[in-house]
Amino acid sequence: MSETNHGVLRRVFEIAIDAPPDQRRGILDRECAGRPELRRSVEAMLQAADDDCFLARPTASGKVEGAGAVVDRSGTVIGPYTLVRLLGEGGFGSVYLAQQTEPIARKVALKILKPGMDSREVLARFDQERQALAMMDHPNIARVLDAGTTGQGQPYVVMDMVEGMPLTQFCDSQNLTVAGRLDVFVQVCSAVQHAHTKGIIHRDLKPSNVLVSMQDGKPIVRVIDFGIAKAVASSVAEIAALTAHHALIGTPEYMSPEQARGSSDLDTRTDVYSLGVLLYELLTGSTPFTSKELRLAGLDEMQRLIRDVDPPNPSSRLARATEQLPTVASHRRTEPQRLQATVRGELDWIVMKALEKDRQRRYDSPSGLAADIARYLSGEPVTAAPPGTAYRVRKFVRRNRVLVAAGVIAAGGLLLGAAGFAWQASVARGERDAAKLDRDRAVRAEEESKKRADELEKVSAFQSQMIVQIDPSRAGVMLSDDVLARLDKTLEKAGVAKPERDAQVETFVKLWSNVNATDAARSLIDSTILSPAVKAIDEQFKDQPAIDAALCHALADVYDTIGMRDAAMPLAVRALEIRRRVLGDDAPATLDSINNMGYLLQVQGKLKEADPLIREVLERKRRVLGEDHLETIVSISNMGTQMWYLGDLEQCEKYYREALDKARRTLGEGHDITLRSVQTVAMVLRERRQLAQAEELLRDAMERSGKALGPDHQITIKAALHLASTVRDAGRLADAEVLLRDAAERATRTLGTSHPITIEARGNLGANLSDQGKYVEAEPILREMYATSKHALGEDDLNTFLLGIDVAELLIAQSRFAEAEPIARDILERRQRAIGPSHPVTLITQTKVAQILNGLGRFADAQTLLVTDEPVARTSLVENNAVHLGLFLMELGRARAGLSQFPPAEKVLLEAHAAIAAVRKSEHRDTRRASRTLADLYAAWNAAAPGHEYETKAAQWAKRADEAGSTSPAKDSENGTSDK
Amino acid sequence: MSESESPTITILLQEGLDDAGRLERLLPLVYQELRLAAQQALKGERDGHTLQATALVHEAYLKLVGPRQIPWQNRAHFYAAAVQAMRRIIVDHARARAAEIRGGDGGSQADARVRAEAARSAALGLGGLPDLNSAAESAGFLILDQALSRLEEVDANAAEIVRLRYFAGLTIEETAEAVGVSTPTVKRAWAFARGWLKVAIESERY
Repeated sequence: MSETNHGVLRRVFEIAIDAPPDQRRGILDRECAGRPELRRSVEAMLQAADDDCFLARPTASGKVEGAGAVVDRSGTVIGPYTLVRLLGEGGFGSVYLAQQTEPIARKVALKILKPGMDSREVLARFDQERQALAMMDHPNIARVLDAGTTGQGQPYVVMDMVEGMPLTQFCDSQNLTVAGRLDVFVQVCSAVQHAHTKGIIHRDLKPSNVLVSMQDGKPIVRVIDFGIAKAVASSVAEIAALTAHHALIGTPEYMSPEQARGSSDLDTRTDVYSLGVLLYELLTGSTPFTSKELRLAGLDEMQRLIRDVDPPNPSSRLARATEQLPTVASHRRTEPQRLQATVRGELDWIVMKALEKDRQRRYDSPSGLAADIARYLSGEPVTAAPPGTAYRVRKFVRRNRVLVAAGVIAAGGLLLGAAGFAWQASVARGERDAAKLDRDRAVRAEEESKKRADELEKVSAFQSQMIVQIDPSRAGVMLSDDVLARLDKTLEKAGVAKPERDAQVETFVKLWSNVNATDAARSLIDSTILSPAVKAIDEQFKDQPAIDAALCHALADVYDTIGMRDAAMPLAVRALEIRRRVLGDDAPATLDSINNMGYLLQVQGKLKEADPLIREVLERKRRVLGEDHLETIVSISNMGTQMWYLGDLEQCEKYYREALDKARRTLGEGHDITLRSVQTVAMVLRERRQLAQAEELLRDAMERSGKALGPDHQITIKAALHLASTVRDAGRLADAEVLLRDAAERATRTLGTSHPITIEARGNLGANLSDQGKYVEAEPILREMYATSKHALGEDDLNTFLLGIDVAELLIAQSRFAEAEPIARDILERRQRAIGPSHPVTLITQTKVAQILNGLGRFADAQTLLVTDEPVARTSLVENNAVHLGLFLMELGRARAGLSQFPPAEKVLLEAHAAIAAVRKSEHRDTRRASRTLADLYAAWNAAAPGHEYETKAAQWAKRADEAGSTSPAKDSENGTSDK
Repeated sequence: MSESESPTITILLQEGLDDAGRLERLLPLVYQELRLAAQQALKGERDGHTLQATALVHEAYLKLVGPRQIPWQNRAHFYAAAVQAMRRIIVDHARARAAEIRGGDGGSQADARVRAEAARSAALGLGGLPDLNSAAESAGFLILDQALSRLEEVDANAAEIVRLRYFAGLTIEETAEAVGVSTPTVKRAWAFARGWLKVAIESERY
């Protein structure tokens, strides 16, 4: 089409097409007067638009007679086989039911591999394995019978015809219990083990390759497709190449890390990994990395996930899958909570051992895996342990189940208590039953039973008091210390000489540093104490709701305390529901439960759901217990916290002050609640930038707390840390340093090096020194605290994250970008996973990484990192803190300037400066950096295109940056480590 | 694409994607739409076609979402990306299929002309998406796609409407919603684009 003005063409066409056909000629006469070419075009197009074929059904597929190259080849004869029916399409090809005619007549499965694969190559590989394949003879394996090439040159493979359903589908359709599933799974292990002894690795174990059918009322497993994956593709690279040409083939969900890496060095342990995935799915209903996650990830990220990222263990997966959980549990004929309890602990360990990234740490064979399952089923201790936990820890733990830490002893109390309740309750019930015929005795027994229940409730209250003192990080530290002491002792007993002993202990310490001791202690406490307690409650107190509720409430508290909120929620819900029903809304126990629910929802960020509960409990307490009751004061303070979370600082201060006034008046200055209340008020004052007031309050509080509780008490130290942050906010870094040094020393001495308060104190000291430019002293402190925090609090803990940021900041400040990059990238990835990519904190971290990349001159990388998230940042960051948006845009602008994209760089840098300057003073480090960046931009622009006054602009911005810098010390006051 | 799901997606998109969970909730819906679209695109074919509808969507999904999550600004933004992904996949497959039959570089000039003529008439015979099992339709589709690229150069707006209709399988109404214009506007633009493409293919010399 050669019209010169498309717009005219379109306009005329649209006028004409809207008109009734009989008026079109007139319209064309008018519109196309003197333009015959235009007229010809429009007429042709009008005709075309009436065509009832071309694009007449834009959303439908083409003509059916075009489907000539049909792939269903039923009826075709291939050698001695006649294809009977297409059974299905797999990743590698289509499978047919085929009739073999000679040497024997039988039905077989014949798989024709997809076109596009090099048949000679495939057959050569297949031939290598053919002999080994022929030697396999196992009831759970479908034999490979033959292989060849079709007339069209496509390779095919012939196998035993197997009826059955894919493994997972079968188990769900039969609603097999966990134990039933384990039985079936052991058969799979046995089949794979057999193949391994014949030298065959499967390489593509997945549910659709494990077919199960019912025979004589028992499930029988048949594993198919041995040898196929090897013959078709020997590496992931090939699979990836095939994937590029064909639809998605290969099953990344079941692929081992070494397969994902594309390693050609695969051994039997790759199958052990895939078996681990199958077991994971059998227990939880989903694979360790869900299909969705993997598809979302893209190929590179998919490989990285499989290679480097630890999936949640099965019980945590169940806990997270709140929506699916009821279905998953019912397919296993159990309740959600019970299923979690069953899987938690030993089954978690078994699965996670099979799924170790490092194959050396997996079970060395399928039979090893099966043996551990057999141990689990028969109640013997399993050899698997939480991943990363050294073998010695396991043994130690087994020998000293309850003695791992003081907290655990307290927890032990609850278990014993629960067992005691169970026993006493059953005695009472027994008496009642025995006395069925005797009315008087029955009434007495009923009373007795009730009295017992009341007593037990008191006991339970006492024990839950004890149990909430469990501190897994502390327990973790004790666990670490104890293990080391015992290791040394054991070696000494074994007559190992001192230097050798020291070396061994040192090696072990290195290994041990990989273990998250807190997590280990947590899962230990859970599996040895809490899960059995939940189970005991389930079984024993169904008909004694008050006790049931009390114990659930206590256990929910404990789970919350040790950081397992997923497990806490259902228990708290149950306790609240029972108490409202049985005791009424105003009963103290019910109030306690409402309060607890509100708190749990609040800390999970479900503020809207929490709000009515927190208000309700405060209203009821004011009314039932009175305005000055301690419980009421606590609720007033909780209300303040809710306001804090909601961002209503004015209301927050109001409630906090009310709580403080009441606490001072009724509880006295030295009371724990009063001292804590002082800190809450100070916190909100700080947030509202009333620093002088906050400082005065905190100094006073520190003094009082020191007098009442001693200078080394946690609350006193906390007050000192708080004060230090306030002083820092006021720009007095040196004063803050003095306070922090003192607090850090006290915390280290009295709480130990790994205690969260010690980490906070020393971490803040390190950040403070770094802010003052005392990098040499700051660096070892920050690095040590970062490592300690990872170890003691966990890799994903917020404190660990903040310390990582501090370390990165310190390196950035010294322009040591290459060292900062891996640290910053690591924390960015963790944040993305933990809180999602659009969370403000993630975006702030992303800004840091970009700053590092810009510092390294890798502008394209920096731009790539930021550019897709710019829209997200504009919404997410601006609500949080406009300065962070400014910083984000500044790095984007720097990247663009570095890439010589001057106009867009200018636009975004001016915006960045405006955003920062709106919040920060001109002498603030961030504001000056924004000015300096603009000066740099104009200087570079001038160099690239002289004579546009860029030079003048560069000078102006440089002057702004320098002038602001000369008016105050270089250090900023707002950008350091915040309160942790 | 089912009517009942569309509002949900629209609402989710209107709310923006500032919390991480929302994208997660959005994608299954989008996926569902794409799957339906793909099934629609390929329905009528017998079993065993090279490209299964679900596989198509998986691939579309992958290409669409890519290694990073893209924050969709709105529905139109999303469909633009979806369409692009679908197009890329169909083009890839059509190329492979067309090349398979052509079989290397052999054949005389005359053969090439005959093939080109066959492809053009196949293009003009396309009612909707090509049957990717058919080499002729695949070749025809590639010609249509080229014509569409040329339309894009002179009239991006008309080309966008075609892409939404043709690759995403949107109805006139849905297209109007996606683009944010009225239904009659889309109708006119669609008629225009169809006419333009047909004339372009007919008059092009190969």
